[in-house]
Amino acid sequence: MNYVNIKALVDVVAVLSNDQLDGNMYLFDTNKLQGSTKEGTSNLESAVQKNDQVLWSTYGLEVESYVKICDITVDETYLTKPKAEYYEGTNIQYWTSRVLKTPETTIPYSIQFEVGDTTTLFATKKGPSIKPVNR
Amino acid sequence: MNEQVNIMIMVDSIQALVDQRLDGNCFMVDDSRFFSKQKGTLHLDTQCIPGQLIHWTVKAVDVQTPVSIKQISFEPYQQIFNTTNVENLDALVWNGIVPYLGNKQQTYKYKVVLQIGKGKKSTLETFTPSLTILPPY
Amino acid sequence: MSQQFGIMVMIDVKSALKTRNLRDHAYLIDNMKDFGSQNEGTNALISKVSGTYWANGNQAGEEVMNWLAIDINDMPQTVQKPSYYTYFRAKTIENFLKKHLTNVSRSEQGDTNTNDTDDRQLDIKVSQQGFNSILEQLQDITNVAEGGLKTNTDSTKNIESDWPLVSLTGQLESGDIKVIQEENNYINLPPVITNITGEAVDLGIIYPAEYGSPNFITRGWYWCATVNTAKAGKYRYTMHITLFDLVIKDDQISWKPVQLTLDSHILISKDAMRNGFTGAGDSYLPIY
Repeated sequence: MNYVNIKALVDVVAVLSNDQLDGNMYLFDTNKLQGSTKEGTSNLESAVQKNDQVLWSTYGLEVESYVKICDITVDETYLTKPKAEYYEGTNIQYWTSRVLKTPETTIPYSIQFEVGDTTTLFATKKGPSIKPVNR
Repeated sequence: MNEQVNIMIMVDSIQALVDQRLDGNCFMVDDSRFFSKQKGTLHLDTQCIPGQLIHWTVKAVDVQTPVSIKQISFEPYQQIFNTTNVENLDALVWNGIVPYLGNKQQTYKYKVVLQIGKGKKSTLETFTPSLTILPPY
Repeated sequence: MSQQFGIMVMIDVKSALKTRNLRDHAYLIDNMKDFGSQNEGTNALISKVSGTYWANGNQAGEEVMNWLAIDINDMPQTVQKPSYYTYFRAKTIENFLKKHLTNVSRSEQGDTNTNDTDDRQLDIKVSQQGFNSILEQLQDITNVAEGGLKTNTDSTKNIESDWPLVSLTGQLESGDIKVIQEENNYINLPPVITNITGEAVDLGIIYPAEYGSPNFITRGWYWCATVNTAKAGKYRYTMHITLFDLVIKDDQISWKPVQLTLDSHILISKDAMRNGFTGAGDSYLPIY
């Protein structure tokens, strides 16, 4: 089984002071060699194929800041509805989904975060996508 | 040499940005040799005498978060020097000598504007701290 | 500013190890984007440091930079303020991992301080005497050169570590290690920055040093530097980063250190200090 591990790094101060998530949140994955592009931006395009397991987790840039993913909205033709899980024995979350169908083109999805505290929510507007792996 | 009184403002930057207010996320202390009131709160009333140099500084509780003083002003809150377009607020030193304004003890509230990061929600202010100028000995 | 700079070096460790190319698989982010840093999220980050000086030329503020290398594949392990009860603070990744640290059963020379009779066992055991730091082991197989550690990448000695083999979803791995290696469902031993060198250091622009910290992922070490902002300009520096590759020998897990480098830049500007009330020198407070 191939895993595509996506990490979101959120600059909490920049998101809150600018009142904007896009541009102050950086996405990375572990699939560049298979074709992922736009690493290090809010518009990461993750290369995936059928049966890949996709994982998402998040950090705050400022070491003691609070960030949590509260929802991920995808096109359910291509991905199972992402589910939140806890790393065993902790209260730190990750989200997981399985690729049902290899995308033919770039398919956008959206991530919603709690930033700074549990009641302050931000969602990506022009955010990340999935795309087909390199041939 | 002017005797210096230091006023320090400490801020929980991220919480202040989340709440969009300084009250509850910010506290002030001074080292005046007189009996200042409400130490540790935003209602700090620093007692001082004419001739002393007051020096304000600000620090963020989380060292990896930014905070700078954008403005300190007394009524009618007009600035002689407009700091709106100053790029590097940390190149500003907030020092001032206490003037002689009469023989009666008088309290003057002042406004503090802090900048946390940049952007439309980065500027926060309070009107509650004050200086009480004691009659000169 | 009272703010310290934080530079996160995000590394796709598995891809970097496969290609032996760090530059294509490292992305740098600092917390100064709104204050002038450029190219956030790329390997070409330029960190902006805004220096200040007094009228007599002396540097006014102290600027401090901190570096942290993080594997994109790793579980998030930064310190989080508990969002509710402190009870939950105990349920962090660090505490979970600490419970599962293995016995450091032996070094290459053989060792006597273990209570484990059979030290070829693969089961993950709870450590009974704490753990050796990675850097102590690195020191055994390297020279401590001036200003940092130099790892000999031809060394046949690998790091043996009590780092538990954990899957990407945080489950302890057990069973056939060769299968685990093939499936690639494990988190590598975290990368470590072993030195910072280059033009910025040689010219006395940054003074880097290694500090102890309670940060678990770096095993208690992180790099920090104070900045001399007397000379404005753009300066290059080089980070020496050691990645760890999983090696299986005789059914034992060990980690082969792979040392790679990555360059970055700092851009220093400086402004003269001025009085915030007057825009020039000190004067009376504007109280009327």
